[in-house]
Amino acid sequence: MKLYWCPETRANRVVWMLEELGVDYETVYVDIFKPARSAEFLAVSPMGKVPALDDGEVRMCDSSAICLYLADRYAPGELAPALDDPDRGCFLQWMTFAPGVVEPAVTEMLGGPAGDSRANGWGDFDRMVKTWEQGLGGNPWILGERFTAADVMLGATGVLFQRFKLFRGHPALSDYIARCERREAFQRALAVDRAGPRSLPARVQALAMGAAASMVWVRKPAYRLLDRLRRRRR
Amino acid sequence: MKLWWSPGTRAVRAVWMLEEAGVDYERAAVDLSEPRRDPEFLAASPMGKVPALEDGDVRMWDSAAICMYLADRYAPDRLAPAADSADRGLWLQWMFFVPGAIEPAAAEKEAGRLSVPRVNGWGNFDKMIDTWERGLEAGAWIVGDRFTAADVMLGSCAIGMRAKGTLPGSPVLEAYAARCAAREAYRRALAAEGSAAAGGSLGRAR
Repeated sequence: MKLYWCPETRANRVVWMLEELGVDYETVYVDIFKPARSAEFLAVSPMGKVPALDDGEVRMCDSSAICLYLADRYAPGELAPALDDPDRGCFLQWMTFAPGVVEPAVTEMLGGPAGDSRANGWGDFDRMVKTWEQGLGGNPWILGERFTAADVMLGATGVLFQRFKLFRGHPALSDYIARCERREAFQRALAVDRAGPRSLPARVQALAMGAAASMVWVRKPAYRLLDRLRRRRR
Repeated sequence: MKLWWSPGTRAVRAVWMLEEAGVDYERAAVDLSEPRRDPEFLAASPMGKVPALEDGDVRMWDSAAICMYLADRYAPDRLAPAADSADRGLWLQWMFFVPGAIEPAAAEKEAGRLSVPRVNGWGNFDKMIDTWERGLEAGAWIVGDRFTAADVMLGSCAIGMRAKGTLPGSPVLEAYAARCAAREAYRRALAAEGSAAAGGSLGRAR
């Protein structure tokens, strides 16, 4: 099995997933800062995005889709509830929550005034956080006592945004993210990520991300204020 | 099986899916203009969004998750490739393409907001459209040579965008939207929408 990958990208959640499964895989480095992509890679990932997976006759991209595929294929009944398990519906819902709700809600919140929270499937940042916390409801994992691929997706997304301290005011969510980080498979994936090659632009971006992370606490309340003023004017 | 639904929303995807699967269900209308929601509905949909589904002990929301669930449960090997089939990976990829790429890219474009295409999973609007078109190069439907739940998800987006005029002059996607809209199950879902959607508001979500 071949994973197209680059350090400090969404590919790390698939490395984590593969480490949870304990299957053999090799990583193929893609320098995302270079515009050119190999034809072989583009055949697997038409948007030129990592991660992408080549597993024999299965070639696919998108981190959520890959994690769901891997769980169903290599750990059915364990990292993915079986198709006839009553938890299956809830599991799928949380699998789509990470890309479909958390990511756009955070991007919107960081990128400027909020969009139409009624029309958008992701509502807004506060509703997203509240729903996530309610879903956990004091349990260690999103489906309760058992760890699944949905925790890989939510945990990895959480770890990424926690670098910007976005969930600092939410202890239940922060605890959950820290619990995910303590998984052995997560730590192994982190080691893979740290040992990976870093081009100069990647290093510059990492520095810029660090700077941006420290500024979020200035930008977030500022945007909130702007948003409130804008709504009042309507 | 109960589907919480409201006309002119993403709930049409779930109705269409149920019609394709051919299972019995009842629709419970949710008044989205009313800020207070029925607690029974909120138990299935904590964000207060439609569609939401109640199927025995299963309570869930999110159109993509519901379509995946229904396909695997009620139309395996027909609307969803089996977990060990070669098409499974690609099918999942396209199921996630709607919430993960089309929707955020379209919303970003509509709001006139730009983020960094390298960092976002969805790239940008043009890249998303290009990828979608190339996915349809090989055949009439998005995965293999047959209609699946991924076409319900993508088709409802294509039809909705065509109605809103946001499908950029793409003959491939126009033809795909027309093909999807011609499905009998889709027509039944459209009839269920009632007059509210007759004006082409389909796909506009709340």
